[in-house]
Amino acid sequence: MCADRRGRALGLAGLLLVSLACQSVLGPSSLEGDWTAHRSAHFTLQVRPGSFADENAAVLADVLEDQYAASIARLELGYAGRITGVLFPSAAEAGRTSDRSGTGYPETESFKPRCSSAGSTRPTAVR
Amino acid sequence: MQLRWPSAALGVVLIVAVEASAQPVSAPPGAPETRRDWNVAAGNATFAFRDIAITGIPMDGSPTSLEGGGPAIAGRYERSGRGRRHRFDVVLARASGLEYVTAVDRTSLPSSDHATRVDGSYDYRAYPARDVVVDGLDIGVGVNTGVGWRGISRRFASAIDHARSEADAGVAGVVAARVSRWPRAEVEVGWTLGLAIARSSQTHTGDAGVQGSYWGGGWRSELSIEGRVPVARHAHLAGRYAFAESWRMTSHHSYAVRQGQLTIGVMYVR
Repeated sequence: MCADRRGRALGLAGLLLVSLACQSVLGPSSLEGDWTAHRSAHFTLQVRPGSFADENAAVLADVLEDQYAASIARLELGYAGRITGVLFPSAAEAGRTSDRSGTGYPETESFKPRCSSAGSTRPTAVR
Repeated sequence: MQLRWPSAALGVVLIVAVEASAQPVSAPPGAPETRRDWNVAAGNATFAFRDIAITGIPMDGSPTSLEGGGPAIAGRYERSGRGRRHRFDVVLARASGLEYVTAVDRTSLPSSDHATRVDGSYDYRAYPARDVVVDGLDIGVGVNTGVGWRGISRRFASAIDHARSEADAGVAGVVAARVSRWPRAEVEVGWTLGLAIARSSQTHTGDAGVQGSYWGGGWRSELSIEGRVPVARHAHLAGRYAFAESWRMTSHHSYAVRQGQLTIGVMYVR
């Protein structure tokens, strides 16, 4: 009787543990590891300390600010938001298979490209 | 393909729930009679929103989340015995002070931006395994079904308002464990996993103006812990913390929402 009761309890506890694991596996993951931020007028660039993006953050911010102003003017937009870019040093770390890829998230005004000097001489595309 | 794991988990929970509901449940000698409780509680709720670019496993979610918090009011009617429990819940919550939150940065949004939600649900639980391992520890399974409405209102520049809302209905399986070792006082942990169908709408005022509605669906899960202690003959002090996650995929956008809720209130026990 006691063993039967313990067996049922262990079974249900196991089911609960499996279910809890689903909760963390199914949802979108969060950024992990060490990151630092560089801020300009309209952009916050998050980079890995010591990475290519970290060393060139000022230049990247200048280019982005220039593009921001040109886009606002050319498209006659009434937009004054702040955009966050998370610049990954490699495609693999960003969860991508290609070095020329990235992702934009319009609802939270963010983008996530790969940014490094290796494998490409042109800026990575953001889709 | 990305729905295979939650489908299996939900299937197991629902099968266990259906089997449990078919079991004869009778109150043991000395158990309290069927009870009817009304509960009104207030507290704080948190809200976090992330848009999703790729819905496979792992999901590709935005590195930035839209987060806020604010007051929550909850009401409950409950009819329960030792073997079964029926609950009707209503929750109203509003989150303001919204911020964009990343791993290393927070950016405040205009104070007029806010998120609101209204949820109503019915929850049935049976406790086929009683006095498991220790006296007073019951394992329960059940079914939860409910409807909800969630809205986010934001303002860009001076004259662009963007409102997004979602109405959904869903059904879920429940696994719970409760401890009631003291007279009429108890603590219960519950986990819910289910699916929902949703109608998502957005309006965007500006020079062009955008308006649209989309059908979609997704998953929702909730982990809760709640307890009650008697403070008078017909009154209990009741507290509840719940952490819920939901994922929605529609034809035009996908997103994840995380909600926390801590409420404390008074329960009238009859």
